[in-house]
Amino acid sequence: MSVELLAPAGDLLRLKVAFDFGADAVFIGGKAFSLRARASNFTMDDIQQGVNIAHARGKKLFVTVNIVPHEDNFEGIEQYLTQLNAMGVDAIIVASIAMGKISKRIAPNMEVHISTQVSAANEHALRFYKSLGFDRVVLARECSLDDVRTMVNLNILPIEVFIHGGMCVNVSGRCTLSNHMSLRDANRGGCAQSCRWRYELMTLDEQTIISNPNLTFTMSSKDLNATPHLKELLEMNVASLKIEGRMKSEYYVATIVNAYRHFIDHVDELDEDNHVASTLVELSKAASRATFDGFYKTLPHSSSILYGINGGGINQDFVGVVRKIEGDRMWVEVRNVFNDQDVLEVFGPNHENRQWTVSDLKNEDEESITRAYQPMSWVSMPCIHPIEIDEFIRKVTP
Amino acid sequence: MKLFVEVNSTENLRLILESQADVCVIGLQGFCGDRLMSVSLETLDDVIKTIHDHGKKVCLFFPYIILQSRFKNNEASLKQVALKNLDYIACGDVGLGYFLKHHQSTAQLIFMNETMIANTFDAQTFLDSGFDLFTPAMDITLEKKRIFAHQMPKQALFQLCGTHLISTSHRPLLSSYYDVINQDGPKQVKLKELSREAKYFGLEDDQGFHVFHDRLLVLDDPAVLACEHGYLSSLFVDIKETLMWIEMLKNKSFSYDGVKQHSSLNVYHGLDETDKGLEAGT
Repeated sequence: MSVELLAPAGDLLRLKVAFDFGADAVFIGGKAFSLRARASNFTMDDIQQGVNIAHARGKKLFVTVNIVPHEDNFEGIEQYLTQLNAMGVDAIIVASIAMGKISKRIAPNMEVHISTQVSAANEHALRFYKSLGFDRVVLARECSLDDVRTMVNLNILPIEVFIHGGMCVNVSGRCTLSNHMSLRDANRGGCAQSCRWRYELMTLDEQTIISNPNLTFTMSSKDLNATPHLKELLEMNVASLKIEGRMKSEYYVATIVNAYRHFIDHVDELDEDNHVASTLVELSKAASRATFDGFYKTLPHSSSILYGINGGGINQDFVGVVRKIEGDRMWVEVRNVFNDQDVLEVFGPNHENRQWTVSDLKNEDEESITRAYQPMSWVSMPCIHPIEIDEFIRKVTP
Repeated sequence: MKLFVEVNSTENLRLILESQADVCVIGLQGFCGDRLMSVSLETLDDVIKTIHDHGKKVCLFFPYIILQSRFKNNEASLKQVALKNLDYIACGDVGLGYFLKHHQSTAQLIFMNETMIANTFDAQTFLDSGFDLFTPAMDITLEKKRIFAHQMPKQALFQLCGTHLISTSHRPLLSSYYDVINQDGPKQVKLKELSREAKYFGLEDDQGFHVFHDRLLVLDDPAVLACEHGYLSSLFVDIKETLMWIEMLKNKSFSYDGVKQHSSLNVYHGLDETDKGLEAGT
């Protein structure tokens, strides 16, 4: 069985990028019933387009319906699920077993995947969800490699695991810090990420401050990067390897999907240590937070927490996308600033990464320039070879 | 109303046995952290007998998810638990409930989880799947809790009073922090976000790090009080206060003001002042 590489997409552009760079399936959120309320999310027309794009390439599209719904959130759910099914959506991802049951009743052929929001962590939970007629379980991120292996071998239901992206420090779906601290419902798309705030610790009687004012307490988790354990996950035949991040940029999606696709496709050809090392380097080019390898080998300790850092940084290495090739020049749509004589790297799904030094830079009026800085403007420069439309360009950090 | 009361220590058990509580909620060693009085499998029969001898029922509560390896390593013990003379087993892990149901447990099964059942459709699906009782999500508004009270007054187990869990992490976050700042510290603390005044209880045990609200949730709504089952959580609370709540509930004098008057902690009705969900952050 070949493993599925499952990527996130916040809109149609990122969906296309994910498929271009090698995702086997993409998960998206609709405008309703989905966590990540701040992601741009898909209209019904977008979802239909997404399905069409996926199926034209022989790939799959999943839609998250993963809020923990309140009583009034069921209004319109049957119509919504009926529409998703009619569009050809391959699966929905749910946190509510009632919504899953409704879906199975009205659209028995549309798969129902149980979200990591329910934190399924053992074989008996899998049996429970199987008894309800569901098709796949996304395991709790607290599971170790041994846990995953045991559950895969029992062959109860296909198993999906996270390999990359943001981590809830708390057990998913069981955290209401945001609800209580910000009055924003974490389990219905409004998570304020209160875990990433800084806290003062004190004794129960509030008489003594325990925390260090120069390095306050936080629960802010590093991101997951399971590359060191990817070969083991591939060997144990999990059904799907999932990348988190519906709110991430197209550059992030391209970089991460590209790196994991390359790892998976070449896993038997390359020396494992070198393969892991080069993949880690590649993934780091889109990192906005430090990463760790999750719960796969050991219970995470202090090295899994972002002490002294407020939130994630912004990665500005992504400088543009190749949009047009004219003779011996290529046109690049600018995303972040770069300069004449900068060393850039182009990457795409069909070629190894290529590096060169920028020269002979011109703007849209064919005037020579030394700096490209206006986002979404086009600049041209001499082609490097090989090159393809829609490949991504980034700065090479010395 | 059958009143479930959390027991946090042997001393508390003695006092609760003398009270009008109907059900004593205890934990099994290795599965409940420091949240409950933890009883070993070897002594469970004796504790059950003691509680039964006082005319009360026993609820064994497993508050957290159970990872596969831990489940497998303890499967024999959990099979024995299924056969004990327990009246109720409360599961925070759906897999444990499924397992117990399929191993001849005669105890009533409660799906007890702070967040997962936020509507009656999910509640009914859990009931149809073999659970006998459930706890509605803690963070839903009073108005939505009333829907459960009206539609499922026999199966809904409401927390009526006490501190309540608002997050749980598998990671030892306090120990990790103490390592980083190179000092020892207590495993029970208060947390205060730097730019806000609200405080929370933090507790680290062998199950991870857990954050509790530092205000007492008080549900004195008549519709809720008319239900068949109520729950009192007593962690971080003086046992005298818990005993007072039991007395007030049994004497039908339980009220927000009554709890507030006698408590050292602040009290609140729950998240009824706002209800931002799907629209939040858009």
